[in-house]
Amino acid sequence: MNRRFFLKSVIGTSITLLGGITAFQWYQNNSLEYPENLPTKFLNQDDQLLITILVPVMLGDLLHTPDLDTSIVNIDETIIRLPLRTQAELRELFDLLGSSIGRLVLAGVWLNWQQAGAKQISAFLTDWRESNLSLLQQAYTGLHQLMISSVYAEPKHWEAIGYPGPPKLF
Amino acid sequence: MTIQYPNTLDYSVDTPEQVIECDVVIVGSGAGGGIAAEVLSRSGFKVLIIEEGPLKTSADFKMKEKEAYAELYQEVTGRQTADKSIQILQGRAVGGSTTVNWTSSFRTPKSTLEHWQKEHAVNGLSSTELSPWFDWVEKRLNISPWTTPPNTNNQLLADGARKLGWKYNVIPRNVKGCANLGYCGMGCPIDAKQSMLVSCIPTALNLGAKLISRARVESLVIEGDKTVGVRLTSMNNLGQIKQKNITTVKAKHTILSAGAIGTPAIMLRSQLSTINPLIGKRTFLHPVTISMAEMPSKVNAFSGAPQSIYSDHFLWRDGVAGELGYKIEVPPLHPLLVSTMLKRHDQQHSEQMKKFANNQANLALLRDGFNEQSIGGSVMLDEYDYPQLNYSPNDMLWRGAKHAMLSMAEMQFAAGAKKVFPVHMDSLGYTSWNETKTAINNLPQEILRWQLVSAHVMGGSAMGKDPQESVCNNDGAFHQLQSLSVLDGSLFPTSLGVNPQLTIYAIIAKLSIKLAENLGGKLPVDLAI
Ligand SMILES: Cc1cc2nc3c(=O)[nH]c(=O)nc-3n(C[C@H](O)[C@H](O)[C@H](O)COP(=O)(O)OP(=O)(O)OC[C@H]3O[C@@H](n4cnc5c(N)ncnc54)[C@H](O)[C@@H]3O)c2cc1C
Ligand code: SF4
Repeated sequence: MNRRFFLKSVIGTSITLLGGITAFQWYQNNSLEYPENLPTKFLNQDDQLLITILVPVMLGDLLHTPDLDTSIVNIDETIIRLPLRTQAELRELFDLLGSSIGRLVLAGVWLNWQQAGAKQISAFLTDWRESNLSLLQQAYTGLHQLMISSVYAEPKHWEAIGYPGPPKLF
Repeated sequence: MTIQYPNTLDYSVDTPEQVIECDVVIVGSGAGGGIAAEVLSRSGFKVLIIEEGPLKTSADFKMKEKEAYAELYQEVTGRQTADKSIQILQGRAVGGSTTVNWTSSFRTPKSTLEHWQKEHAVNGLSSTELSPWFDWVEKRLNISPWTTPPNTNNQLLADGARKLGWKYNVIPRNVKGCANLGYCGMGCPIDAKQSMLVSCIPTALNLGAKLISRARVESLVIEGDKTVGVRLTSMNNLGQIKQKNITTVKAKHTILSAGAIGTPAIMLRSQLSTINPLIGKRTFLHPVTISMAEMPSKVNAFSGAPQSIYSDHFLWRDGVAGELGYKIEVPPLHPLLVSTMLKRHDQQHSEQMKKFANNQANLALLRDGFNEQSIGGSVMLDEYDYPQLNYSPNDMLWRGAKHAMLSMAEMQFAAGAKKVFPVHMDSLGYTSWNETKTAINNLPQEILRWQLVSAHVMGGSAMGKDPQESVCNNDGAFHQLQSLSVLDGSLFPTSLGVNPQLTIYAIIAKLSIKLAENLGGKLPVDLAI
C-alpha cells in the first residue's frame, strides 16, 4: 500500500469516528464560503480555509483572538523555507485534509460554526494525537508546530502569558 | 566599533562568477570553518569561504523568534530525524551554529579523549596535547566562567542540586561585554558573544579572504585521486536552490566544515561512499530530554545569560562506556519555542501557556556513542539530494532518558516547584515527587510521545588511524583522496559529554596549523604552538 493511499484510508476511519456528517449533507449544504484568499505561495484556498478553522481550536482560550490572516501568512512563509521533501509531505497532508473526505467534515463544521463545531474539531485533533498510528500522530505534531507557532510568533499574544518581549536596547 | 565584512558576495543577489581560483576553499563558516579560515588566512593563503546561509550581522538581530528561526536556522528549526523522533537545531548563516549558540564553553573531558585514543585509534588529541590549544582559544574568544549571578532559571538548577547534595558548577562563556540579555539563540544584538561571526570570520576577511554567502557546495570536483575544487549552487533568500552548479571553484586544497550532516552530505553527493562506506555513519546527537516545572513565582527564563550553571553529577554514572550518562543544564524559554514544545491543543495548551513566565526547565544531554549499543545515526540523501538523518532511539537511549527525567524532576521539586511537567506527550503536570516518579516510570518509551531534541550534531566523518574504521585520518585528511580535509564537529568518533564548541575550536585550530604547515604556509607567532 503506498503512503498516500494509506493516509487516505486512515484519515477516512478517523473521520467516521466524528459521525454525523455524510456526503449527502455535504451536497445539500454546499454553500461553503471561503475566506478571502490571500496571495500565498504554498497554501491554496482549501489550505487557507483549513487553517482558519483549525487555528482557533488548536490555540484554545487566548486573551486576544488570533489574527487568522497573519497565521496564514506566517505558515506560508515557514513552509516555503522548508526542504522540498518536507514541502511535499505537507502538500499531501493538506490535500487530503482540504479536499474530498476532509472537506466533508470541515465543511459541516464550517457551515455551522459554533461551540459544538469547535468541540468536534478539538475531539478530532485529540483522536489524531492519541492514535496508535504514527502517521496520524505525525500529522498532529506537524499541524501543531505550524499553527501554534504562527500565533505565538506574534507580539499581540505575549502580554497575556507574561512575556514582555525583547528588551529595548539603549 | 562596528565590525567590517569586506570581500563578500551574496549569491541570492550578486551575479555568480563561472570559475573562481583560490589556494584553499573552506565550505561552511561555523565553529570549524571559522577557525580554519583565520588560521589559513593568517598563514598567508588565499582563502575562499562558501556559506549556504545568509550573512546577517548584529544590526539584523532583533531578538525576535520568528525572524531569527527563519533566517538563521536549518529548516526554520524544524529539522528532524527521518522518523521525526528528534528535533535538530542547527545554524545556517555566516558563523554557522555559533551565531545562534548559547555560549557555553567546556574543555573536552579527559575520559572522552582517552576513550577516543583507546577505542577509535585517535592520536595527537590527548588532554595534554590539546591543552595549549584550549589556552589559545580561550584567550582568542575571551572564554571564562560567568561571574554575573545566574538568572533564576539557572539558579533553580543550582538550588535543586545543592539541596540534593549533587555536584554543580558555573559555566564558562565566550563573551565580551555581555549585557545579560538572554537572546544568544537569536543572534547577539550587541556583538558580545564571541561567535565566529564577530571573531575569526571578520579577521580572515580583513586579511583578504573572500566569502560567498547563499551558495551551497553541491559536490567536489575530483580528478583521479585528487580533489581539485567544488561546485556551487546559488540559493535564493528563502534558502531554496536558485541555480544548480553555477560556479566551479578551483582550489589547491578543499576543506569541508559544513558541520555534521552537512559535511557527509557533500561527500555523499560526490559519490564517495563507494570508496568509503562509513561516510555519514555514527552521527551523534547528545539527545536531549527536558523537564518543565511551574514555580511559585516568576522565573522569566527568557531573560539573562541562557546557560550559566550545569551539573555533571550523572555524566559518568556508569563509567565511560556503560549506561548513558548525562549533563544537566537549562534551556532559555521563549514563547514560540515553549508553545510548540507543549504538544497539546485547545484549553490544555492555552492554560499551560498562561503559566509561561513561571516556567523553569532543566535539560539533560545524553552522552551517545560510547557503548556498542549506542551507534548513533546515519546521514542519507533524499530524492532531492538533500540530507536526512536516520537515528532510531533504542532501549539504551530510553533508559538514559528516563533516568535523566527522574533526576531533573527531583531537582525541580527540591528547588521548590509546585508542579513538574516532563516533556512527553502523555505526561500531565504532577504535584509531588512521588507521583512524578511513578508517572515517569510509566511514560511510554516511544518515539514522538517522548519528545527529544538535539542542538549538538557530531560525527559522520569520524577520524582515526585505520581507513577501514574511519573516514578521515588523525590530521582530518580524507583517507582515500588527496587535497581534501574535514575540519568540523563531524570528525568526532563519539559524542563528547560537553557542549561541543570549545572542543571543535581547539581541535580544528591544531589541525589547521598542521595543514598550513603541510601546505607550506608561514605560521603566525602566536600559533606556532
Ligand atoms: C541553538 C543552539 C545552541 C547551542 N549552544 C551551544 C553552547 O552553548 N555551547 C556549545 O559548545 N555548543 C552549542 N551549540 C552547538 C555548537 O554551536 C555546534 O556544535 C558547533 O557550532 C558546530 O560546529 P561545526 O563547524 O561542526 O558546524 P556549524 O557551526 O553548524 O557550521 C556549519 C555551517 O556550514 C554550512 N553548510 C552546511 N552545508 C553546506 C554546504 N553544502 N555548502 C555551504 N555551506 C554549508 C551551514 O549553513 C553552517 O553555517 C549550540 C547549537 C545550537 C543550534
Ligand atoms: S546574553 Fe550576552 S551574549 Fe547572549 S545575546 Fe545577550 S548580550 Fe549577547
